[in-house]
Amino acid sequence: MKKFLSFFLAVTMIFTLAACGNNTNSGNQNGSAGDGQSDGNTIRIGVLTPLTGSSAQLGNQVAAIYQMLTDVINEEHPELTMAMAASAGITSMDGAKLELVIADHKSDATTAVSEAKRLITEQNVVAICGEFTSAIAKAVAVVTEQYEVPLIVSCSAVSLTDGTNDFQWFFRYAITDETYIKDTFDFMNYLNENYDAGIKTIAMFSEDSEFGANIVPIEEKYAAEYGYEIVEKINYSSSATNLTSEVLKIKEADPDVLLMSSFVSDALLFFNTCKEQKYTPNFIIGQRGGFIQSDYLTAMGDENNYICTTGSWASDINTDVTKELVDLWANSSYNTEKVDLMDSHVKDAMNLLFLAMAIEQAGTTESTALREALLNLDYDMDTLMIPWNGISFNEYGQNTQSNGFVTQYYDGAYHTVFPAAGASMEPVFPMPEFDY
Amino acid sequence: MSVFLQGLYEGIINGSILALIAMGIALVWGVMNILSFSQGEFLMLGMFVSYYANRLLGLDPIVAMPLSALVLFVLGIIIYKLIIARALRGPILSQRLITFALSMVLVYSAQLFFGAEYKTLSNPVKFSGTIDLGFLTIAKQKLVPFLLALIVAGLLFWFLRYTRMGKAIQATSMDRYAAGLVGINPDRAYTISFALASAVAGAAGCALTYYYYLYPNVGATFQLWGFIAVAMGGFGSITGAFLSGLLMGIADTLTGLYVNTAIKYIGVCVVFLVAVSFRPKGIFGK
Amino acid sequence: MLKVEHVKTGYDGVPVVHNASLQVEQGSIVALVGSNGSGKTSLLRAVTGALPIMRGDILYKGQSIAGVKSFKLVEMGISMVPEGRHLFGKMSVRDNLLMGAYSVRDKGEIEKRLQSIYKLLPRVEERQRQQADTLSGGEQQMVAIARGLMSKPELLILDEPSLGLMPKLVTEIFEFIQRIKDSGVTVIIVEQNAVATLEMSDYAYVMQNGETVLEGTGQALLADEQVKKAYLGG
Repeated sequence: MKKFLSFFLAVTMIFTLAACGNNTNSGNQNGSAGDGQSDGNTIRIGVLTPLTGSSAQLGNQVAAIYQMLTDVINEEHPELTMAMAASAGITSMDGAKLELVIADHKSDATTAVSEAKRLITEQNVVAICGEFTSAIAKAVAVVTEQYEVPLIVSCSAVSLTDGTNDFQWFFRYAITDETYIKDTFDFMNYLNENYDAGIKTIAMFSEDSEFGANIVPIEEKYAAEYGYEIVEKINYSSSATNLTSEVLKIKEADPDVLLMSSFVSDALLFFNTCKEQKYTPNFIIGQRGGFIQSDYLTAMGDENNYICTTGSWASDINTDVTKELVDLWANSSYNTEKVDLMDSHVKDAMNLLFLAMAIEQAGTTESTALREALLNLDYDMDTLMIPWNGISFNEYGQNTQSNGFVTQYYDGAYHTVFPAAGASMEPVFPMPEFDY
Repeated sequence: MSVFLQGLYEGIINGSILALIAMGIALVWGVMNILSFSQGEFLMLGMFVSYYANRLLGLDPIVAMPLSALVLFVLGIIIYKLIIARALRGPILSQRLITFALSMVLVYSAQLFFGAEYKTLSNPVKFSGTIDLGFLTIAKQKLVPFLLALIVAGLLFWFLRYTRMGKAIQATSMDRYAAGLVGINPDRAYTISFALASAVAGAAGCALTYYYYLYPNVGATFQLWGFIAVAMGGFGSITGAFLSGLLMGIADTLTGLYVNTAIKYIGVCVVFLVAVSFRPKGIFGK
Repeated sequence: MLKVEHVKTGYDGVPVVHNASLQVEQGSIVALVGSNGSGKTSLLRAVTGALPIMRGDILYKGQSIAGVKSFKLVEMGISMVPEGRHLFGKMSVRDNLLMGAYSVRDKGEIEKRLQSIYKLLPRVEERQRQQADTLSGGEQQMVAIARGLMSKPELLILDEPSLGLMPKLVTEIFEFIQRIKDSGVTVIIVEQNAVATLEMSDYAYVMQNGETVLEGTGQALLADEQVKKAYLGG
């Protein structure tokens, strides 16, 4: 019996480890095991994403969408309007196929750095994209600068492109927090002017890593500029075992609007603690993060109703190419959990698409040429699934033409509520009380 | 004043979970000199038992608690017999690190079988709601970890002091060789201690699901604070672990409330450092 | 009662005892003497299941007990008082004695045994509430032997009971052992203090380099020139 049990345990262990290993390599399935771009038929692209660890769900979803998108690019899809879909592979390079090399950064900067090195030096990837928090992106950027390999991310910390680092190989098409937070305050003014909301006081609830900590000074700047009084300012650790004192302080201050920069777990803990303290914030605007992740929404369910978040993509954007992407994902075999497409997925997916476009336009994977192509990308907004004004980079690799909006959750989805031009729902202010 | 009282009360509640983890670690360390790095993962498994009991059977965590304790007790026995007992025959380093390896296997297995995403109880919980005393808001569900910590501390104290098996465990912890000579099966004493510690973590996991989310890595943070509580209470002292856990919870909440939430863990660590600088072996260390 | 046949034993596969044989008759005191490192304690540890038997056999009442764990031997009637006492230091004297009767479940019976121990050793009764590690060396030794008796053994094995004790206490301990024997318990005793031990024993074995090299009645060995030279300082 003992022997049998040990055997069973050993098998479980091997199975477990094998399963983890599989995940990491799944990107290699659609290509030969040749050595990188040199054989001319495949172009290796490094994908760093958290396949395990605290953000594993999002990381796996992003990996899945990348695989779906790679298939679209590699195969012929004349029926699609999406960029890079019509013909098979990279036409300027004899139809070369993209091959993803997916690596797990475990939401850990040290792992991310060593995996980035491995992707570049052993797997010969031509560029790196994936799912990053700002802290991880900052760590990986040091590696990609050293090896002169383009890194394309969509996390939002301003400090990545404010010139403090002078990264040459760093690209961000997506918006920074500066824009998101300006949107947030414009939205509050809009509520005051059009819905008589009477917002005077705000409180900030921010986790203390690169993400939340970078948002705090921007919020302070805009609060001063727009004339809102900050009545409480909480910095907390997202791995906290409790958020009790944090919630008690917010409850004491009772702001008109609570601005939250939180990840999934801490946001869930925050709302549970609020309910224990019989407290419903008057109105909440989240800064993406946990608010736009599927496990957060599954766990919150209807309790997320009327909570707002900023964003740069929503499924209610009314363009053909957006609907096309939503359909593709809904029917994709890679979408094993059948999750809805969300902001964070699309932002990351766009980076792969931009990269493919740049390779197509450069006609080579040589890094300097690729960098030039990324900086001067030729695009048609009708073939991109993101509602930006356009693409043009400043000297620090930041797209200055992207823009965002504010959405409010109701009945199972986020709906655009601001700016009014793209709105699909009237904002509801204040939030109704939680069900205690 | 009412904010202070609320903070103090919540601190004790938050500390209860740490106390529960710490008591398990203290028991295992006290009896067999093993650092139980897998205590946090037993907590995680307890949370999953609670989660699935709620999702599949609609049970409240408090109802699932005996089940979870039992499941973890049996798992503790199996793990002890298959892994720990063998490692104990090996060199001291592998004895100390075996539970570390075990915790990794448990985390990855949980990821594989339950998924890596964050979860909270999906069916409504009956034992919930708040009692408003005016000066204090008591969330019923948060009484659970506190009462559990009290009960577990009491039961462990009684078990070790007044039962035949408990005394045998104590004797084995003092002198394994002599325990064998008086007719105690030391291996059995170890098995029961290990399984008891894991059952305590299992019950604590249930209590935690009332307000905390769960995912495969959830044990790590609690484990870390649990270890600090054990070091502060005096290695191997269950009473010390219990009181230190509560003290850390209070330090956490009051620092957050009156100094700054950003440094609340510094407050906890200061309490720890002060405690060990006056009593290097811990408050109840011998 | 106990028969050790050509036993080889040791630690981690390294033999310490190469070839030891001895026989213990019921109701007798058998001594095992020899210099430091001759393998006496290892042999006792092999008998009580703490060391593996590499060769040979150990028979107790005609039944092999090779490889039987020590906690099971207690129920079979074998009790060992180890060298260095090994009391449960943080427990009271009384609790130590109660642990000695761990294999007994009848509370009345345990109390009866406790009282008979107290009758035999009134000093232990005086100290019963005291924590064991606060006792003096002699008292600790008394408690250790008393704990060994609580399981009501038929065979009591004593390893170095006089080690580190003052001469006056040694005499006391030896008198106590004599009384135990008189109550019908078979005793095996390992001692450095060879003269006093041989005087008390019915039969004795001499160990040297892991082998039993000589045997005889206590008196005969005392008279043996070779023994005198090697162990008795003569």
